[in-house]
Amino acid sequence: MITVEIHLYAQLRDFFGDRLSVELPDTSTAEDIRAVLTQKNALAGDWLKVSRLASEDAFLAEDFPVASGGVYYLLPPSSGG
Amino acid sequence: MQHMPNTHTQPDAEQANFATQCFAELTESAIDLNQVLRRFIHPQNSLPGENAIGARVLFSGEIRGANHGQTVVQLEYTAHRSLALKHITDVLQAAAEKYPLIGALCVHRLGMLSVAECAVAVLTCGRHRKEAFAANQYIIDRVKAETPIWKREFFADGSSKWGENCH
Repeated sequence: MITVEIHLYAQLRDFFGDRLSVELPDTSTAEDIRAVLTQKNALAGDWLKVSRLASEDAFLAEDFPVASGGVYYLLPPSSGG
Repeated sequence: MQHMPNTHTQPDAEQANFATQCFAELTESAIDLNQVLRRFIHPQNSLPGENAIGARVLFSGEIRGANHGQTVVQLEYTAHRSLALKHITDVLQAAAEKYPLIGALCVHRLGMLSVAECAVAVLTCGRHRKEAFAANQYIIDRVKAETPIWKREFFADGSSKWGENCH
């Protein structure tokens, strides 16, 4: 198993707070992070479905392999301006 | 937090032989619109082609005192800072490719804002109003829809609501 740190924004903070650590199987992807969080709180499912995973400086593809000890960001649709 | 001015070479040789100056910034401080408006004419920021500016369009997105039928008292903006700054810079550069601009700037506030404060300012400078207006709308539309920034409205009755994507 690997552990990654997830930072959350906007509506997702109402469900999980600003950040949390999650455990995942060794060969997990961005999509798996969403699945684990949906298991933790099914009420967040609709927002998780439309949120994108990012690193510090780039959006990540659904099949991006997450790394042990990695820090990732889950971004709901924007609402700036 | 800001990206130092980037330059983007104008692809349209008919327009002018100068580079578009682009400037993106995220700030917790109040946005001074007079300062924004003077951005590309201040002597310290003189540009090659500066004398070519014939149109200057400034958009200020401000905090409305009412939304969803409720009285708004404050509004909070949060961001994925590094990605938001990168994205705004990319949008400015895309605008510079699409329109013959001399300068393009976007400053977005973060933190807690009061009603009537400026949340986002976009300045576009071109030889003519057509490209300055069009580029300004292009920039603000993309920044609102795509940049990883989120707002939360706080209402007079003590409730709050996360903003939803605007198109």
